[in-house]
Amino acid sequence: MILSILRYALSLLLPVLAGWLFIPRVWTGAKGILRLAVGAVIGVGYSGAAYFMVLCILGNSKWSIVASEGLQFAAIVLMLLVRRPAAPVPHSSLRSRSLLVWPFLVSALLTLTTFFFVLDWEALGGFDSTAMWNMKARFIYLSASPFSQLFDFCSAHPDYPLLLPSIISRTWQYAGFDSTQGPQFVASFFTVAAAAVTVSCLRHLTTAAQTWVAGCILLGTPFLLGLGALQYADIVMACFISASVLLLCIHDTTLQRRFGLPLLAGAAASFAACTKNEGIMFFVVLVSVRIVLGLLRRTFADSGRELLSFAAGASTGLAALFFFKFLHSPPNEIVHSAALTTMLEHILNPNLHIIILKGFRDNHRFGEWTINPMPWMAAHMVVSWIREPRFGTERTWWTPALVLAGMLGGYYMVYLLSPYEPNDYIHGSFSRLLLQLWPMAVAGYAMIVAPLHDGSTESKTPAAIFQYTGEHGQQSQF
Amino acid sequence: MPLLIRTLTKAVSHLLAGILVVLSLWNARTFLPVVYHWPVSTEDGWRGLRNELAKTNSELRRLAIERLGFRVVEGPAEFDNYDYFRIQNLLSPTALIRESDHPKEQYMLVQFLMTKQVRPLSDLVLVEDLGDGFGLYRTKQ
Repeated sequence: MILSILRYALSLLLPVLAGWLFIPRVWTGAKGILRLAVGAVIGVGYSGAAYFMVLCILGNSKWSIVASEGLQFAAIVLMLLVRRPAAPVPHSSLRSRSLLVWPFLVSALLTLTTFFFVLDWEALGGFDSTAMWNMKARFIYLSASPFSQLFDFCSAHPDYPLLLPSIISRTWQYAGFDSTQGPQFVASFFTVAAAAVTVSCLRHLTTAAQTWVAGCILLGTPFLLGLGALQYADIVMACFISASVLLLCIHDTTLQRRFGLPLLAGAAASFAACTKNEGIMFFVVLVSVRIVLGLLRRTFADSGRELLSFAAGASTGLAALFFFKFLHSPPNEIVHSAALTTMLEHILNPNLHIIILKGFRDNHRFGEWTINPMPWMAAHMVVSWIREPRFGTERTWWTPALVLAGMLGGYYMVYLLSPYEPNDYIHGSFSRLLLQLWPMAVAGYAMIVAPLHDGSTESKTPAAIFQYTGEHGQQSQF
Repeated sequence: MPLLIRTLTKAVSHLLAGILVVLSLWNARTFLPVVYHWPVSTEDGWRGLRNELAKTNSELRRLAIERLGFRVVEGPAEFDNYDYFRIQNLLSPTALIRESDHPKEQYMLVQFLMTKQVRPLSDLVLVEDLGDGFGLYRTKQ
């Protein structure tokens, strides 16, 4: 038991180490938990994407692990041999403390305990993990030619990318057998990482007190930890979405226009695209939002370099996705069945619009809260705007706000154009889709209520930031 | 902005943050009494099914059967999707094709859900009784 847990831990330790060593090379501002959290997510994502890509090309899990571990090991050795001097961190105010860290820690304790019991209760996971993620992982791990068999039977969503099954299969290869502990380990990793990345990134974007408030809201979302413990891929999506959006928000506040953060954000966004099909929509929406913001902010040259850096980071994930979609994946059910006349009928059908809007309304309690925090969060944002209206396009919260709007619009169109019965389709999926965006939305709320940076170009000098956080960081806690 | 409004909004803002922390703590504790169980890691339905299918699994690998049909008899008219996927999960990498999806497989795994007793079927030839209500059959030529 203990030996197998150690083997599972080792399977994630190497990518986490690789990510941890990689972060300071592209982002000198990341320290402590932030460096560990972002490094872990990026490292595990790259490791899984490399495994997935080799699997798509060579079609065998044994070659996949040899190639991906070889690359990873070489990267670690290279990074250990070639060291770079550490650069100073400009955010001095990040050391500020708040008593609200205590409710956050209590919340984390309650959440982790509940998580453990759900994980133990449902060793195999929920329906999606049984029918899709863990089963596909089992085919990858056990079959000599998984692609010839994976699409043989009527598996659910055969066109979904295989990043998560690849990560699970890799842990089984380390352990030497396919027990339920592998997927449980991966699910625990991504659930903790989703919260850790969001909270640690928020420490660069909002006040200490507001960070802990946002962390409490996130951990006080039972559906989030429930889906995590049931080993659904939505929690993996939430982790990658939150990482990519918040890294770009931090990039908006940096003083030196180095482009390491968009590189990391691009990597995380591409991993989301490799996890589920809606991740591809997220990738397109995020790129569109950044282009629009670049135009509105009139930062054309910087936006161009940002997009190049973003594309460089995304290249591994996108290459894996490309090989899967063009070499192996059957066509997407919705896209394949799309016909122009049917789509027009759907668009012109007012009843369908009403059904979708009602479905959206019925999912307002998607977090399975006893008390819904959203009205209180909305009130908090309104009060903060009354006190100090802050709507300039330089504001960091524009990225999560526009991504949220873009994704909701995208989901609306998918429900509208899909051939499925809309009521069942919405009720079976929309709450999980909202959950994927929830950590990012909570972070956006925190940035609106208590921004650490006022967003103006003048403030982006070290002196101005120190002055601003010194004046407002402690006073305007909320 | 007048000082009074600024002070008032600041106080309301603090109050709202406090409310959010309290209700989040309340939400975080909600499911703990529901999911708490002791002892942990006990035998559950999943582990039981894995044991029931152990012989089936080893036989399928011995016979090198990569795909076979699946039929449930003595069961509900609509066999639960989740149950099918649980069995498919445990038998992977052998592909288990539901008879309703593709009726003409050379081999067929039949589950006798209620009696758990394997018996001859008119349209199939029994190859082996795999125990716990599972039987391996071959389609008649």
